Amino acid sequence: MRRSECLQPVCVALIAAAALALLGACSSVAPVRTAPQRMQAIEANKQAAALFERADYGGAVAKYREALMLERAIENEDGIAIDLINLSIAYQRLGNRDAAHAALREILESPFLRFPVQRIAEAAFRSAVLLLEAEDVAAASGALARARAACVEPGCALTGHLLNVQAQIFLLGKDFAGARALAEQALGINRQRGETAEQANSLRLMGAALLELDQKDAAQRAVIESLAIDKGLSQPVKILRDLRLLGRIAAAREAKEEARGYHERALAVARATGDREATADLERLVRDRP
Amino acid sequence: MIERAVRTGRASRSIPRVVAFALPALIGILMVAAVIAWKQELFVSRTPIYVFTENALGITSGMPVKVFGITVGAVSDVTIVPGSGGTRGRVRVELEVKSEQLQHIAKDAHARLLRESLVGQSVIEILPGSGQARPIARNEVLVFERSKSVGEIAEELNHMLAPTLAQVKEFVGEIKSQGGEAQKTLVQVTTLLQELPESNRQLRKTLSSAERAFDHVDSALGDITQKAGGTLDNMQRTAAAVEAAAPGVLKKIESAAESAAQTADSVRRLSEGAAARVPLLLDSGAGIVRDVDDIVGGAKRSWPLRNLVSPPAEVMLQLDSQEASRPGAGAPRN
Repeated sequence: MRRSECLQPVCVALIAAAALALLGACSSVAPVRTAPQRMQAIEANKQAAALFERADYGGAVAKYREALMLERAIENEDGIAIDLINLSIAYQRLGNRDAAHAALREILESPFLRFPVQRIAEAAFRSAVLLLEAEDVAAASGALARARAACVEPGCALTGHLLNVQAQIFLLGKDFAGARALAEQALGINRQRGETAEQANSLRLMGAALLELDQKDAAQRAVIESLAIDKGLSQPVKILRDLRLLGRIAAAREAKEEARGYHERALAVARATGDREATADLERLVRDRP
Repeated sequence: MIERAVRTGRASRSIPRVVAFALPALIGILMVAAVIAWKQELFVSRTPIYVFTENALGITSGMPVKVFGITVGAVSDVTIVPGSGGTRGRVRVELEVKSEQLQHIAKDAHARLLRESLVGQSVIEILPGSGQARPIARNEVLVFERSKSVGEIAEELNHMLAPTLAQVKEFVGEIKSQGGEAQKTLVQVTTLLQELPESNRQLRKTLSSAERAFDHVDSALGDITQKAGGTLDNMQRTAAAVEAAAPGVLKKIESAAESAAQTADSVRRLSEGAAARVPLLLDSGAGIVRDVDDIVGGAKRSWPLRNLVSPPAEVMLQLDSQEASRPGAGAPRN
């Protein structure tokens, strides 16, 4: 067999491969090029998120407002809703609850724009969280019902979040058994979805409910697990809550030294985060329970 | 004869093989050419409009043209238009603007050269004009103005500071001049300040002595005379010392002022030099960044990379069922 005849199959294979590659390239769908105005809005949104990560909430608010204006200019409903929800979180961190509510109202009460149902669920959920923070249980229940109605599986990933909010409402209403059951259910869903921060929230809620149900050992186990998760996520606010709750559980078990230890640790965290209210409260606790 | 037929047969069989080898390469070249042409926006319809300016300083070919802060075109050509009939020559700048964006530029719009920030790139910004005027058309001319450059701002600053520096120099010269009012005053004040503690001490001593020796007036008067003499001697010595030291101190002050003036002059020269070079460096840097951005953008949109890169989208912050206003808020709930 001559050399050229040996190479012939190789050439055919190479040409076939090249043809297949060309076919693949031609058949693949070309990406839609993002318009410059939209790119500007996305850039502003990302810059705001970076400022939020650095705890510059004032800067984040300004950037989100800029992103919002750009999204409004092109009437991109999804982008508008995302920026409004983010704006509500940044405003809440700044302590401006009225502005946070106003941002969400634009989504929940808009008569003209049609926002995606997923965003409506998220906005109603955020509204429930804000109302719950103000301990307005009735209004929070209403907002939660709207969020649940808009949270349609499989697109909605908020089921675990919503159960946690419901458990908080039960806890405030002193239905501790109901709160515990909902928190357990939320924990299962959040574990399944890999929502780590929400898992810690579920565990903390379970701990609080179990303490009220006089199941102190189980409460302590749940909150210790919650503390481990929050430390892993480096969430000072949540760590402070865990330590305070562990202090309460230890005090209920009459383990005075242990309770003092948790309160001292909580005090150190409160001082480090600049939380004057919690610092004063914990200083009083440490002083009064030597 | 037979041999020739065999050769002809071989040649006719090798043609398809050559085509089979060359065709993919040809297709590849054509595709690359098409991608480059698309990337360079050769298929985008553009309309030329013009501005005229006294000089083309800071204006380069390829410089972006923006309306409402959005890039709508670029400077495509900068040429000198010779003067005629006693008028001076001018520079004609051709702006290639995307035809679809012309609707946003009115006939009475203004173009201006500005820098996006103190250290940003230079752009030509078009202020769209009033809503009443019709949109600008092909080959029409816009009014052009240029904002102040860093060099011009530095020059203004220099003009403002020059009189102040001259006054400082004059003041130092006055202090330096022998027998001047300032020097005399300084010598007198220094002498007075040097004498004050000694005079005070002497006075107290004198008063106590006078009290003790009230009955021995004669001898006390003698003591006072002697001490006054000592005080006068001290005063003379102090004045002499101050007079000896003052010229040295004044010389040092003068040399320090001269050094400060020289330093300020050097800084001004340096900043003028830098101001001239910095815009060029920044323009080059911005051009490189734009090119890199274009290349990366093109690569990201090409197959198969485009399947691996997710399209840009807004970021949603993490939703938290226990979000709180401030550290510790809501903690009592748990």
